[in-house]
Amino acid sequence: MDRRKRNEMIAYGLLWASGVSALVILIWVLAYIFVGGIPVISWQFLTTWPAGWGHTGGGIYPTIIATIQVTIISLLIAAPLSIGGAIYLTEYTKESLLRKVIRQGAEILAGIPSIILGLFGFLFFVIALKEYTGGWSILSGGLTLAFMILPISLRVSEEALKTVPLELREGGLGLGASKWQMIRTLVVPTALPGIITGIILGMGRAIGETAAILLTVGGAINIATSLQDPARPMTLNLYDVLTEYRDTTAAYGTAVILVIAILVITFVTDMLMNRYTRNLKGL
Amino acid sequence: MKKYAPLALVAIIVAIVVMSAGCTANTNQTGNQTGTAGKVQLAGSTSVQPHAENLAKAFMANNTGVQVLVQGGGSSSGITAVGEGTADIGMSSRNITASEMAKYPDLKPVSICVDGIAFIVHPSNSVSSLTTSQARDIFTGNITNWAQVGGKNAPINVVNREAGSGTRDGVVSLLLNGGNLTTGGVTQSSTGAVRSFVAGDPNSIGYISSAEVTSIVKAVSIDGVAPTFDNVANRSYKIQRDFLLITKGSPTGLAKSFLDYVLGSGGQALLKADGEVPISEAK
Amino acid sequence: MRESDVLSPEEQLSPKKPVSLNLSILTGARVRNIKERFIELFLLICAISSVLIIFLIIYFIFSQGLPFLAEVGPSFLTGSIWRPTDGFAAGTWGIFPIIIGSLLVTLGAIGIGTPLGVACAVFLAELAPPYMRRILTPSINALAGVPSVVYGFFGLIVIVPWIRDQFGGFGASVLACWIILAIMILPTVISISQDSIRAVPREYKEGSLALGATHWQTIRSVLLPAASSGIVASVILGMGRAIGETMAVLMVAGNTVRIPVSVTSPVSTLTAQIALEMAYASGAHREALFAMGIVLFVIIMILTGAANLALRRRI
Repeated sequence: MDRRKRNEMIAYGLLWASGVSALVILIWVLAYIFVGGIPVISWQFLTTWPAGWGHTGGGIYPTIIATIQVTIISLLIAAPLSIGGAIYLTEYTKESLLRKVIRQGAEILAGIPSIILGLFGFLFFVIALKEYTGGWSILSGGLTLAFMILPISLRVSEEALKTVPLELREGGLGLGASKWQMIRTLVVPTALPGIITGIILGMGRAIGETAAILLTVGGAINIATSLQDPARPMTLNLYDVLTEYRDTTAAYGTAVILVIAILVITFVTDMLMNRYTRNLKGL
Repeated sequence: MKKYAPLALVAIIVAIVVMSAGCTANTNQTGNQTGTAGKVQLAGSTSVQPHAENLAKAFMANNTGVQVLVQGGGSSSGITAVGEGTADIGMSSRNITASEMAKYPDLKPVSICVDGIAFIVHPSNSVSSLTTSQARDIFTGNITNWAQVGGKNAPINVVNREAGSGTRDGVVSLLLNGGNLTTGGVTQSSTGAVRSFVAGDPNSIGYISSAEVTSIVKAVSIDGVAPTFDNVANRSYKIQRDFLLITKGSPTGLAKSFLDYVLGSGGQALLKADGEVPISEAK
Repeated sequence: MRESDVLSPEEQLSPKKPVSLNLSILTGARVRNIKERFIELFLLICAISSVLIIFLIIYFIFSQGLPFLAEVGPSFLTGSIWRPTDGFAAGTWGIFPIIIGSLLVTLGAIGIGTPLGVACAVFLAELAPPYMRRILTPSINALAGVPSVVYGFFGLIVIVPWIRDQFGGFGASVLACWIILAIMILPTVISISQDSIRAVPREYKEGSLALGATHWQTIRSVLLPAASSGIVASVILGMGRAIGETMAVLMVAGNTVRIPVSVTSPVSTLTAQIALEMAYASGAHREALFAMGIVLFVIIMILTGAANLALRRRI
């Protein structure tokens, strides 16, 4: 066999081997979580409380509520600010040094590791603003997460808005629409899939984030009945339950639910993105 | 836009529900208010935490409308939290240091029980007893092999707590007489985490509250004295410390009610059932 | 032409606009004008708030950490003993082993994850049957979003005991971090690299094959170089994720402040050390943690900046 052919076969073999191994590893991790976790999921698991310190077993009911609460709070704050801000920046101001500085700032913030944001949230929301946030609370946690999502969402929304063709805007104005009418009925709907993708991405991060809420949301096993109550979201619960008593049953269950939530969110985002690119091509 | 309307409607309804839950909160409610409703936030030692959670549960069962919220973080974080006002009651497994007293002069500690510090190894470890000097040498890093203390030929894996831990402080002051812990050990951030780690590593040794020793690990005797309830109560097991609940200033309101419960017959009986020596029974 | 030129109230009444002339136009236009202004104001507030938040955080972190850095000097970065205390003078502030830990763990993760990831991307883009690609690509995309605690869970339960059984030692080690972080960055590297490879114009590949090159030669000499900017971008993203990762590392690294002597030694990273200590740090110690955050941030900027620069040079 001549050398070239042999090299070719070796290269092919290596590619197949590494390609398949990478896939096998990823699938193995997922399968491990699912195989260990799906049997744990039951209506009882989802609706009972954790057993408390030192005891194994129990459910994750309050943690699901806590995750939902914290995520909604963070989205309610981050979404309007970032979308409104992006609209203002793209529609009402010129491409200028100011915008470049803002964009650079958002890039920097997006690159700050979440633990630093958690440290900031701890000192700012939990300690300095204790009067308003109640110290360790879902509000503090939600605010910290909002600050984390904001730069990403701002950047994605700005990108989405920028790709709307200028002709669309000019057409709208030419037909007599006012500026806001034009934005509301033409620009935003066109950019909406991209914007929503950004929001959903932010939501995914908020659901899966631990370091930022480690020291802001408290961690007491509790259902928060007010914004100032602490609680324990699922990610924090997974960490506690695992490191404290190696309670793998509850850990598997929590992990599986988290993974399923993220998978669903990602698939929805993918679908939206596909529609977005199709829409844009249609224009 | 029409397609997104139902989704937006759902989101808005959910948001309103969450916000109205928040609006029912009274921003000034702290544990120090008189009355039978409100919240008490405890934070601090992970050695005290399991007992605090049990006490909280019992207290809340008898006092509806009161929320007693417990979270960990370590003794130093509890003292800092109560000093800064982030928590109503700080849990600590060590005494307040002079510098902490200087920073927060009005901290009032209350002893609730006496606890021994147990040194734990893997159940399969043949070593069951150590002298004080042997234990000291192990944790300062002077003895590094189990063969040197009568075990098999294997390196000793030291498991430490983080620097803010009251249990670690107890080991440093009571066992090492202020010396330095070896930097070669791994660090785990809570009582349960140390226990889980030692339970998984046959060559490890760590330190946890004596009431937290479960069958997954084995506690060694020091100078022939085992860390049992009786030995801690009659002070023959020398490595012991008080658990403290700390308030800023004299306790008032809900915090006082909770402390009264803990020091009363109900709370003390609960502590005894947990394996701690109630302060009322310590000699 | 600025878009705002089109909007002045006068022009709304201009004859260009195909409207019927009646008096309500005048009042309607004014009301609409007020509404426009309100909306613009609202959006401006959103924009200002967003900007304020971004710069508040950056300012806060630097204002807490920089004075500490100034006070402690370069011994912060070169010292090897880390014994923090509330008061500045009583403590020893050396984070060199922790910096080494972060760098070591990241570089190893990229070292393992990049070849595996790129090979897998090539495999999916060029060698795998289409049905496999259709199923696997969105699945791998989804894996990129799995929370880090879940990976840490897997590391703690599976990887750490395995390392302990195979190689002795604590199990919590540099190697455990490498494996877990590599797994974590695989989805990112695979999906972005795959996109880049598939984005290479077909003509390149067909031209190469027409000239007589084998498939592997085409991949090696034509496709990969053409896709290199995207591949490098994916590695940069993965690197950012690896060095900023906290929870998974906290669970499997061992958190020992010592320069690791072997891959089975426990290690401490900047992120994990901050997470471990931030609950109870106060005074100088707290400022030191922010200083560590600044160091981490600077390292990230340097690494990504250098990589981006290398990227731009190539093109």
